[in-house]
Amino acid sequence: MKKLFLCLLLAAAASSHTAIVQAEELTPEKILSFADHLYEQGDYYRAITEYERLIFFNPRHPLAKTAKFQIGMCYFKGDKLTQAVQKFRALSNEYAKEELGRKARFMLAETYYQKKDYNQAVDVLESFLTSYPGDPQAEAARIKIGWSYLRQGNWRQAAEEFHKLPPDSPLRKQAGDLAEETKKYPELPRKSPTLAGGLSAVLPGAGQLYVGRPADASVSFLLNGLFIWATVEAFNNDKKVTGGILLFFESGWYLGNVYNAVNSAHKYNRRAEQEFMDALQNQYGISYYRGDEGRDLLAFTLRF
Amino acid sequence: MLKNSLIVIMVFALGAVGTARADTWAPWSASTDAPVLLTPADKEPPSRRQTARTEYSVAATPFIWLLKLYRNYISPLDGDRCPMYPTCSQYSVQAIHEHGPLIGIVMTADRLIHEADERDYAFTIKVGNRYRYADPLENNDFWWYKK
Repeated sequence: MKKLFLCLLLAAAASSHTAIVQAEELTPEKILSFADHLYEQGDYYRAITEYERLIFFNPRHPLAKTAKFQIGMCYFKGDKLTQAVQKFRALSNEYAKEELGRKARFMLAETYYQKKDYNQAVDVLESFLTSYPGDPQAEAARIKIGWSYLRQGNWRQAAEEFHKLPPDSPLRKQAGDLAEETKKYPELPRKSPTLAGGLSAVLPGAGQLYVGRPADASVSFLLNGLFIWATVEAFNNDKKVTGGILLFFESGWYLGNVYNAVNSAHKYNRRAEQEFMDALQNQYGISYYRGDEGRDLLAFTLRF
Repeated sequence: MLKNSLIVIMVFALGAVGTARADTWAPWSASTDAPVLLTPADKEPPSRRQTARTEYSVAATPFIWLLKLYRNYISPLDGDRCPMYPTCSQYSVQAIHEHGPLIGIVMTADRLIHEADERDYAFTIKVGNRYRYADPLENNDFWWYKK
């Protein structure tokens, strides 16, 4: 009886030890799964640690490459765009002939686009199209190039890029419509900065009224009017020092008034362009979704 | 004596390490659900404008002194009245640093004039315990000055 009890105790101890060992075994799949969980939660900082753990303990495991790419994605999603650029660039160079390199190159362009570095985005996308001509994301790259040009105000080049989609592409018609819409860019309501500045130079506040800023116009008119009047009065009363000081201040207000009118016209135009592009983005927005084979696919969102 | 000096040095050294760690290794997260939250300044390395430049032209010096005099001695008595971010005096210092005294003063006058209508277009930003209208320098020189 005593022996049986001892045997049972030994068996229980052995099984519990096995259980502990099993719980401690962290396979690359488990680490990746946990890292992905953190990534989905938006906890990118901790996710990077887990991806790094996977790479450190399993440097030759196939999942290590996935982890490397995901670290770049964490930086991208976490708005650490400078670090994301470094990561994606390194991956796209190191694995240029593999799927990982292709994805990294595309994400590198996407990161530059997010950074509003549109010239770099175009360069990387062009190199993507050269390196991977038959890639399913080639159309997405072409459209992104078009958007990069449009964001820089180069609407002609943008329309050309949208028209470059192959005739058999399912997105050809929508891209054509987008190219047509793009041609409205030069017809946007704009204000002339030269005219605004000229008007304010003649009558302080007039340029501000022209660009639709009545409160600024009033402030500018009153400030300049008061300082001009005070300066003239000071000189008329032979108070040259006071007149000089007032003239110094008035010069600042006057030049500030002209600068303000020109600046406001530029801001007006920038706002008109921004609203135009936001409307286009809403109507012809591009979205990506993952297909059955796990590859990113491109889709247009068309709103009526 | 030596022991006390060593303790003081060690305390300073620890303080320095603590500061360095907080600056360079502080955790961040972009998610509001995730508790490790970053500060706005941690998002990206500061641009040339955000890093305060210590050197400026001799001509700018008296203007910077006057602005510092205003900020340190007059503004605290006058009260926090500027609704913009950066405040008008901060903006003025930045403009003079970046573009020199002549253009800096013109841009300061422009800022004072456009405060009224800018509120219709600027987004708000919480600074301390107060919401302000964001109007950085690059919002007003973007059409002629490229970094």
